[in-house]
Amino acid sequence: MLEKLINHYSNYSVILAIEFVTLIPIIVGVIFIRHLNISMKFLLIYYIIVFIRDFISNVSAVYRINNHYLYNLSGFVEIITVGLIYYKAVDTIKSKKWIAILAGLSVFFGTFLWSSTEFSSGILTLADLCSMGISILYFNTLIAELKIINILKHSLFWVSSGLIVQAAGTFFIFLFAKTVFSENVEYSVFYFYWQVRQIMYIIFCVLSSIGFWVSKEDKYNYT
Amino acid sequence: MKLYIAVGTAVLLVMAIFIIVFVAYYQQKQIRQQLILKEWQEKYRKGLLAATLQAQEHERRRIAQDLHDEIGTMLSVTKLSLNQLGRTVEHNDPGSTVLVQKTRSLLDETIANVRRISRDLVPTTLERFGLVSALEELAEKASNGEVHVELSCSDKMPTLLPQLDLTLFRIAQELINNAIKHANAENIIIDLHCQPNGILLSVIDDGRGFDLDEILKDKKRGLGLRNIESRLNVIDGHVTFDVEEGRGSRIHIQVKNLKPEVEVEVEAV
Ligand SMILES: Nc1ncnc2c1ncn2[C@@H]1O[C@H](COP(=O)(O)OP(=O)(O)OP(=O)(O)O)[C@@H](O)[C@H]1O
Ligand SMILES: [Mg+2]
Repeated sequence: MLEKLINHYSNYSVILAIEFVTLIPIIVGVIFIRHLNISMKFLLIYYIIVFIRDFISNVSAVYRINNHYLYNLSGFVEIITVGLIYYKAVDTIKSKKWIAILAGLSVFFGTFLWSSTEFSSGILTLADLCSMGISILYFNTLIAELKIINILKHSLFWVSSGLIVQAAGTFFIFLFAKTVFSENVEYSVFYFYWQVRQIMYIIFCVLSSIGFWVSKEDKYNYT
Repeated sequence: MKLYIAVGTAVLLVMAIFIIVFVAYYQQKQIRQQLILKEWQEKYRKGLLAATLQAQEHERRRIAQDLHDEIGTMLSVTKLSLNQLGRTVEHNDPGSTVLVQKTRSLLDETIANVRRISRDLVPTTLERFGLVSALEELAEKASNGEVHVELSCSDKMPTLLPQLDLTLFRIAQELINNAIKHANAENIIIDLHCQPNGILLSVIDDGRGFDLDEILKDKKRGLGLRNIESRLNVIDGHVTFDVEEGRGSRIHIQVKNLKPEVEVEVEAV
């Protein structure tokens, strides 16, 4: 088994590198864990789940077990974590209600689009839409409430930026996932889009890490 | 297909980045304005408070002057006339001499009272000899058979701004009044200390204490404690109530910034 794993990793060195990217926010988050508020703790848990997912996915790939369901499942995980992060982060009942509605509807419609054998374009697109919607809602509350003294030291500003960039970057890829990730598409095409997705993910990880980094200022950053 | 995806992704990415930059820029701009406005409002409020306190002192000074100069003078003149009257009466109607004497002693008492009141209204000692002497005098005046008021203070007190002197003096006055009026205290200690980063004034009594939360909830309560807070607000001071029902109260006043922004001139007598 070890040989197979090593073989797999040498064939897919880019994919392996991506897994170590997930470790960056996890490590930064653990270093600053004393300063994390409840929202940032949810984000840390999310990265840990992603790390485990990638590990299982790789092991599955080695044994040639279908691992697509993992990505569809993590679409739900993303919607739910994003919902929880921002539900806890906003103060007004109205914003909370909107976030709950957005996340709830996404999960609800997502269940109809479930597939355990192939990439579910619908779930992933919904997850992107939900992330974008909630991030924009959060940006809106930031501007409306004016409670943050220095926005560049506000952890959730970085997280939201990462989230919105990632979702914007992968939205069309996931929307047409049926064609770009299908079985009969050329490997180079698949690889190209996969890489774009990875780059977006790296951006998200890096921006989240900045978010974890500045979380120690969060307490003193309110007017 | 590839082109559509590429263009769509690019457009979305540009929009996302635009939103992020806009939010960061706009939020910072607005918050800066808001902070400036808040600071300005705070300053204005303090200024208003300072002006009110100053007007109060002004009025006291005016009343004290009127009392002293007009009523005091009139009383002195009245006493002169009474003395003359007394001499006339002694010759003509010796029976009324007792009455004249009684009136004279009443008049003397009134004159003394007017002088005391006008002196109490304006803390002359404070202005002439500083806070420590004024507190000494306050302690001496407040002490009588039932209460003993004592001042303890560090040897080297820096000279403070007149405004600070006056604030601390008025606060000490109110706290001692409270301790005498409400606490049934036997011993009161005024503790004035100079710290590396400011001034600490404590008034400690051994009376029956009180429940601060309950007093603060009471809408009909007196003005004393509230006035202390407003006075401290102007000079950026803090009050700490170490109080509890059933034991003596300890109230600490701390002033860190010895050069407050809101300057109030206190005119000399
Ligand atoms: N040293 C003290 N010991 C016991 N009770 C106190 C003491 N100081 C204040 N209190 C209680 O707190 C209440 C509020 O005091 P405060 O000085 O605000 O008002 P006041 O003295 O009743 O009226 P005013 O000061 O306006 O003449 C008092 O009524 C008294 O019950
Ligand atoms: Mg009082």
